[in-house]
Amino acid sequence: MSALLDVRDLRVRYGPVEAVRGIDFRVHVGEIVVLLGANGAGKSSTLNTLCGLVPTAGGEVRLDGEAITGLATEDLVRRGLTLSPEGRRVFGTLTVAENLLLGGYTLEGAETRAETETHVLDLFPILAERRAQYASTLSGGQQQMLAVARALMSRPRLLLLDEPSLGLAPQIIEQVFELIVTLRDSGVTVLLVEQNAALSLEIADRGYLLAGGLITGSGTGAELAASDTLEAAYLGS
Amino acid sequence: MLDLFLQQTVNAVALGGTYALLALGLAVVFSVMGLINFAHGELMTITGYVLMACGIAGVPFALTVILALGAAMLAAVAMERIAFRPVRGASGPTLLVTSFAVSMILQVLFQNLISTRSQPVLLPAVLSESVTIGGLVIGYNKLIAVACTVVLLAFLDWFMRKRRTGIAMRAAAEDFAVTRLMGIRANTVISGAFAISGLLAGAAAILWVSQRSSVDPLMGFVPVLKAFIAAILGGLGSLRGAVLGGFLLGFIEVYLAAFLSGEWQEFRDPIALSLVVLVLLVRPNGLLPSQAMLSVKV
Repeated sequence: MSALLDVRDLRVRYGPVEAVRGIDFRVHVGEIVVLLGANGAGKSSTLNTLCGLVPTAGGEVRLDGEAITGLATEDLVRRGLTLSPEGRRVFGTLTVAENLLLGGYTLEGAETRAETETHVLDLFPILAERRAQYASTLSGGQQQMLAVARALMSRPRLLLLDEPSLGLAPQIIEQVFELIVTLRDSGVTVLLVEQNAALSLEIADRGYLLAGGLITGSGTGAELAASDTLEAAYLGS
Repeated sequence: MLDLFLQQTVNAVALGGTYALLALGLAVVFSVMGLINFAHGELMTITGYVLMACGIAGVPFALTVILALGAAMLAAVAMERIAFRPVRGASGPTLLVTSFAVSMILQVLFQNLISTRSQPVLLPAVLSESVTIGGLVIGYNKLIAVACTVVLLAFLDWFMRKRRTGIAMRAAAEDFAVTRLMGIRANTVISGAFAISGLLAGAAAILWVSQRSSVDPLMGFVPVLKAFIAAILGGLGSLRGAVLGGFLLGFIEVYLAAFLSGEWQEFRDPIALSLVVLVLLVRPNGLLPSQAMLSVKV
């Protein structure tokens, strides 16, 4: 099976600090792949560099066989790679509808945009009810839904999700994770970064463990859930 | 007394409207890139010189207005391209000093290439005529200033709420990085903001010149300084705040000029600024603070 995302020897540096020190991983079409690790393991740095927000210090990234290393964020979106950032970061001073409109900014034609919005709102009926509301007035869970919906509006081939469970109540977290499975089943490939290891391994097809900017383990969700390296990755030993 | 009050109110709306347009132009640029553009005044001056040149060449006034606004927008976009793009993302002070440099370079160019002295601007005679409405004598230039301000503010409100580029600018004011994640190009948003600020500065300059019929190399300095105060009064980075601050400052200045008794007149500006300081003591973030500026950026 050919990889949709193929990452080789990826490095990220902030000044003298190397946050990601040469990692290799792959995401295949139709998979949910999770990157797990403690705070500062390099998970968010990896996602931020993949979507062009942080410069790549070394290595190579291919999307569907094409080299995309170092491309600008705006161009990566047009190639089908979108990030739903950590902390949601919805535009609070904009309405739900305006957030979605900007999510679909790269789509050509009003018809395509309307079609995509209908499709996305089918997945998030609560957002359809709140279309005219300012995003800042939504609850945390609804804002997370909006962040994901906004990312989906660009019709991504690969969706990067950074800590979608952050700051949400347990019940809401389960809803978010169910939704990620729904997305996968509807044909969106997902690369997920999470602190919540137990839940994300339940839904993930495969996972990688990151510690100190290196990959320290990989396997299917079930394999990782059973292994000792998982605990080690979080305890940093 | 009531007549005088109404008369002065028209003046206040006209002056406040001009400040509002200028403050809004400053706020649009500040909100997307954190730049306080002191060279905004030179956009006014450029517009003034275009008006002067068109007057000399005998260009019809309607065409003159289009040319003047176009020149202001072009100059604003060029300013961004040449001077501000290389320092994009730099700290606030770096951007501010860059804008001072642009401002001074342009002033020196005007002084050397045109004249250090004030130049007369030929305007249609109708602008200096006035109309009597219920005992009030109101200059057409004042009425036109009020009408232009209303039309421009309505246009901008529509643009920021209904056009995709306008919505993208509001988003960029809140979170620039995430705006780029939507596939919206940084250059689109920033050039757009400068084009709008140029349009507003151009319109304000036409209104300003229509009250004075002259242009000089430093013409833009005072009104933009006032607009800057207005923008702070309203809440820096907040578009509605800038408009409110502009009108408020216009009202304060005109009423003080009209109703302060003789011996107090020379303290007009200090009193006006004291009132501004008083407002800021009560509301340090301005009257309508920008939500985006209050939020912590990740």
